[in-house]
Amino acid sequence: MKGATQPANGTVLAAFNSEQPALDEAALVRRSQCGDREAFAALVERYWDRLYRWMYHLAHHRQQAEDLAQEAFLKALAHLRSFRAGSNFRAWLFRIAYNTFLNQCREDGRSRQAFPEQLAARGQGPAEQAMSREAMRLLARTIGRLPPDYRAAFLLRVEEGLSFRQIAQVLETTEETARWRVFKARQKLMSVLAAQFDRDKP
Amino acid sequence: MTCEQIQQRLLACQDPRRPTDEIQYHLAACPACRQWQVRLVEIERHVPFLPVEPAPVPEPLLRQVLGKGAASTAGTTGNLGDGLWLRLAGVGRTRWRLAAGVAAALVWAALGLWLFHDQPGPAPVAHRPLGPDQLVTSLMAHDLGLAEAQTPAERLKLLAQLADDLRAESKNLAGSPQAADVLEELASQYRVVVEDGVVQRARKLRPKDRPSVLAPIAKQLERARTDAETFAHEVPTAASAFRTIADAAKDGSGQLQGLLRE
Repeated sequence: MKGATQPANGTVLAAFNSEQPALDEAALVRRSQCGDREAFAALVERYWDRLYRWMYHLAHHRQQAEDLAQEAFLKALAHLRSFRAGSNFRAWLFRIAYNTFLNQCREDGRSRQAFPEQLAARGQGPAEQAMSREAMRLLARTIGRLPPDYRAAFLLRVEEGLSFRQIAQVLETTEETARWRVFKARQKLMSVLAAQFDRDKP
Repeated sequence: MTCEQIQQRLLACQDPRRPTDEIQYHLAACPACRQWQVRLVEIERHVPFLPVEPAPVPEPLLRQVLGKGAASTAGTTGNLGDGLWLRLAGVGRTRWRLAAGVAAALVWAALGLWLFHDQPGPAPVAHRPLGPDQLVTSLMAHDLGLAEAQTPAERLKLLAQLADDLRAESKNLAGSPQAADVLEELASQYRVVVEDGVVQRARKLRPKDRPSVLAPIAKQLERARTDAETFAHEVPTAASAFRTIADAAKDGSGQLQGLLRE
């Protein structure tokens, strides 16, 4: 792939990925650290959706989430040499993104964004077949209104499947604080959604 | 252990689907706590299905990462760093000129929607054959949103988003010498949306609605101004366009601040 000149990202990355389907993350990081841009592009493709989704839940704005995720990847690229081999690349990347998000909040003078109500009402995914539309809307709204620290920790646990220790690494806090934030987020969700669950009972 | 203690432990455990033996023992004998656990698990199971507006990996980001037409990022801070923010090298001039033309039409359609259709209810929307460009898609979505918006505040917010999207696309084009004239066009559209859209619409907002609606937009414009000034300084080929954006954002922010003080 070194000689690839096609500008279409999909083409470049698809070819790259098919050439080395089993390339693991550590190898991609090592190659990226040695200056292999295509290896880093593969990491971007691997983590873009997850990082963007997390940022979207934190920022509540598509363009901001996209900007934050892009900035995080570019910062990661710029500081790749400082990444310690053997540590968790995803946690490192997400930590950069979270710090970028916090910086933006400070610049904005706010730490809480309005939740896009219309978005919470959208969607007809398979999950909604099990949970009522109203419950899904309430779930989205309640998560959107959690304090950012709690929301960030809860989503890392539930969407990314990170352990409390890994969450602590991302949010640069202690494991117990990470556990506490997830605990409080769950507690809030349970208290808000309990009545809705009762209403939805067949 | 009491039910309350069990529930607290479930909230604190790493995975409520896999509680400790002690908790499982209690759950086996307590239908209320079992139902409580099921609800907690259900909530967590549904979170990944919450809708998020889709955003594919941005092409400029990958171009930047792949180093195609952009200088090395080594040593940059990532926060504009050496002025290398998302440069779109080798951009198709014709494609972007077309996109800018369609963008202009859509911007005017958007402004027309509130100039001539200020009342709630459906309004006609300009339909043009669209390419895949995200800018055009985004503008079209804003036009449709404006047609469907029910209140002046909603329309104002959509106009502010429209301005922000124009600015974001201008950032994507920065650094591509082939796109200089397109960039000027987008900057000009940004000025139109802010001056003739956002500010004019803001004047008609009821005073009691102003703080909640105008304050965040004023901040957004202030951020846009700072951002555009940085770009104007760091990307000489795009300086004129970003100065236009910075001036429009500064003026717009000032006017909104004035309305907030009234």
